[in-house]
Amino acid sequence: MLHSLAVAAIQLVLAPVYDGLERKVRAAIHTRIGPPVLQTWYDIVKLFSKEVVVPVGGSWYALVAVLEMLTLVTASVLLVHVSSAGLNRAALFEASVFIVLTGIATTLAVVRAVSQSNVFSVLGGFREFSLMISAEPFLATSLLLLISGAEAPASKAIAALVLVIAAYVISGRVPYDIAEAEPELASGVNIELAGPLLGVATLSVVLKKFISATLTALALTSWSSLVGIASLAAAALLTPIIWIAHTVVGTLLGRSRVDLAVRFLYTTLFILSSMLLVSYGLGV
Amino acid sequence: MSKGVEALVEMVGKLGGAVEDVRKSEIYIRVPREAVRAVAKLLYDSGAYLKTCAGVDERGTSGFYSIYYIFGLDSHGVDAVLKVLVPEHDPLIPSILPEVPAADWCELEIRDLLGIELSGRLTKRLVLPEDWPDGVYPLRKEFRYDEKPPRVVREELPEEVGIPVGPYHPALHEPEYFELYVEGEKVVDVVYRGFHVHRGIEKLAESPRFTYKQIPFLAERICGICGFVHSTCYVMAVEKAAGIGVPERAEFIRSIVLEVERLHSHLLWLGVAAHLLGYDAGFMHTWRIRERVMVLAEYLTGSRKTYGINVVGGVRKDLNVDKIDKTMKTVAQVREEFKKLADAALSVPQIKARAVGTGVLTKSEARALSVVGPVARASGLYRDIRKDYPYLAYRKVSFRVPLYTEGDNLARLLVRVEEVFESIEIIKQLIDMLPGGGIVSEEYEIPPGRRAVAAVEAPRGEDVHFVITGLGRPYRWRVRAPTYQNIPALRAMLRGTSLADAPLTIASIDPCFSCTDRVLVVDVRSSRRSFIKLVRGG
Repeated sequence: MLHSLAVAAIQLVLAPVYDGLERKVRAAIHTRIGPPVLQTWYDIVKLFSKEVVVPVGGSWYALVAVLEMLTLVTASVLLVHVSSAGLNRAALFEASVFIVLTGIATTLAVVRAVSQSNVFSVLGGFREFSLMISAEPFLATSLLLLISGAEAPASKAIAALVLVIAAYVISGRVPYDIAEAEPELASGVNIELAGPLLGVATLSVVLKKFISATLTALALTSWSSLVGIASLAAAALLTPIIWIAHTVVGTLLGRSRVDLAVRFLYTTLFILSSMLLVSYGLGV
Repeated sequence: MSKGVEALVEMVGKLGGAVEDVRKSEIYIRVPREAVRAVAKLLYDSGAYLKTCAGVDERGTSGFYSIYYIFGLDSHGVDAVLKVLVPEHDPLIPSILPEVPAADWCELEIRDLLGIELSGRLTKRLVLPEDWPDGVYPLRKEFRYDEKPPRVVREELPEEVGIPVGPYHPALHEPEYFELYVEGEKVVDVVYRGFHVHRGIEKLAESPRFTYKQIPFLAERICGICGFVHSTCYVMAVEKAAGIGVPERAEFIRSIVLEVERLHSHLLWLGVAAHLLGYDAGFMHTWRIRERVMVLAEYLTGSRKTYGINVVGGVRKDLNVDKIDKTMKTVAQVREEFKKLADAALSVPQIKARAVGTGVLTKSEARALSVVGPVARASGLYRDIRKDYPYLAYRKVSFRVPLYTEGDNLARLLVRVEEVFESIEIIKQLIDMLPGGGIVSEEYEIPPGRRAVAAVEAPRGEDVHFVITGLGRPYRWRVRAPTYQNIPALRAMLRGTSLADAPLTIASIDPCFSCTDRVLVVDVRSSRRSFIKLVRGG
């Protein structure tokens, strides 16, 4: 328990730092100086120093935002357990619970958004839902197949590729920042949040990015035979590198539209998943 | 006058029109009030487009109100200016809207500001604010420029009052108000309300506070992006009306600065478009390149914006060898860097995917609404004042007018991208051909009672200024900015588009607003109307 709490604390500290690094790298690509690396932390601290503003409709919205963040923290800790097990059947239970928790976190975000009287929040919520059903089932399938014994090279490679794509989608970066899409929806799902609640939502956003990078690291280390501390260390080292790679990809692309994004994801991931099931069935 | 124009004038004559004055690029025709609709239809059906209309209180000189309709005959390079007299005791005129859809706003503006009623169309208040009293018309001569009528508190609430649900800014952080009627994410109808910051500049210019020489500096403040276009258009109108000769070198300098302004404006817009499409790398790099243009503008004129070098009779700043050298180096750098950036940006899959087939304005819609500039050219209308009515030094340079027929957001984007390269080529040619001599005519007279229409191709399209000269200052100065002509087309462009593409579509006309966004989103399924008011820094 203590170990898990320590892991959660480390992740909570690191995720905003990595996000600060992302802002710095993005600024460099833009030929800007950019904010300090700790800027995301400064933002969060400042948001927590402000008064609590309960969104119109009741305090349960606030509870949902906090629950969403705690769910993501738990999911992120479970991912560390999956990582330390070296992506084998021993981690099947943790992986299953992780998948359920990420689904719950997204559902909470959608429920929070669509329950508001703000039309932009509602639109953002539906967009989040569309992305969720386009990516998370494929993320679950590929992760479980990787863990439960997709040993053959073709199956493994396709499963890893599906996991990498689906993990990028849940990071909420361009071109999949559709649910917030500032110039279109003026921050969409989070539009009604302010002060500490926005701080909590910011932590949720960076935790999703952390989970996304860790999942990609797992997909890459699935080719190694590392287990235990070695596997954990490899994932920990790869996570910031993948985070930066995600940043570069997001910076060089434009925002998609929800119908285009869903169509692209369904087409791509469905084809890849079909290939995965066939190759898995054939044992190649 | 070409044979085509002669034939047209003859037909107008049969409908009761009488030619008052024929000038190099303008024909003034007096038309009886009852024949105005038929004459407008004749001109419109023969291919002319309505540039604008203007109401003038000429009771002090002719005893009537006058309404001027300015039709452009592109293919002949001539404006047909219809003048209709309206008696003071019966201030009513038949609307030409049923025949000329583009007359919508300028007719309503005449009704608001001059109190001329319109028959044969629905009317509503367009320009004056809600709390302005009825029966007070600011463009009538008895209304003092500094008069502040008492505010009227109206009993009924505006129909759009509903639940404030939060901010939504469709495109640019300026005052505009769109009601987007949506089904899910699809826009099914649009209502626009503007003129939140009507500044009364035309009235101000008629006041004793301003003279002919001061107004260029006022005109330049009409727009924070293409202000030089307005000051140029104003001085051209005055010079044309008074027959003032402008030194050739001054015409070249004006043309060079106009193209520098087009470069910065197009680069600004392209950056905004990239931002709206979530491609912030494109936004930042476009503005980085634009910065070179801003520095150049400062070097040439003394200011990054609001250059202030236009005066009646010429310009105040000359070009020396250093400035010429700097200009050539800068445009070469901008060309090289922008070429790389444009190639990279247009290869981003989301840019094309989201701009193709969205915000479509067909050629027939574009013609019906008399749209101008890149909006017209992206819909297949070959309309560029620099070619149609060659002015300043444009008659001496060779350039291509980018033309697309798709009418979508990508077409408007590509027109502007290509115009950046064309502007650079124009600047190079102008520098190569820059003549010697003076830059301003000091000796001139501006007799009262002269009229002139001047047009300048602004980055957003044709800017039109109509001037009637007075004593020491214009008797009437009418300004029609290109956005005024293009906004009504947004309704056609936004219908059927996705809400996600609405910001880009609105921005695609490169509109001029100011610092407050207001939007009403109505879900037609639930009939829920949500009023949104957003105040943002400009």
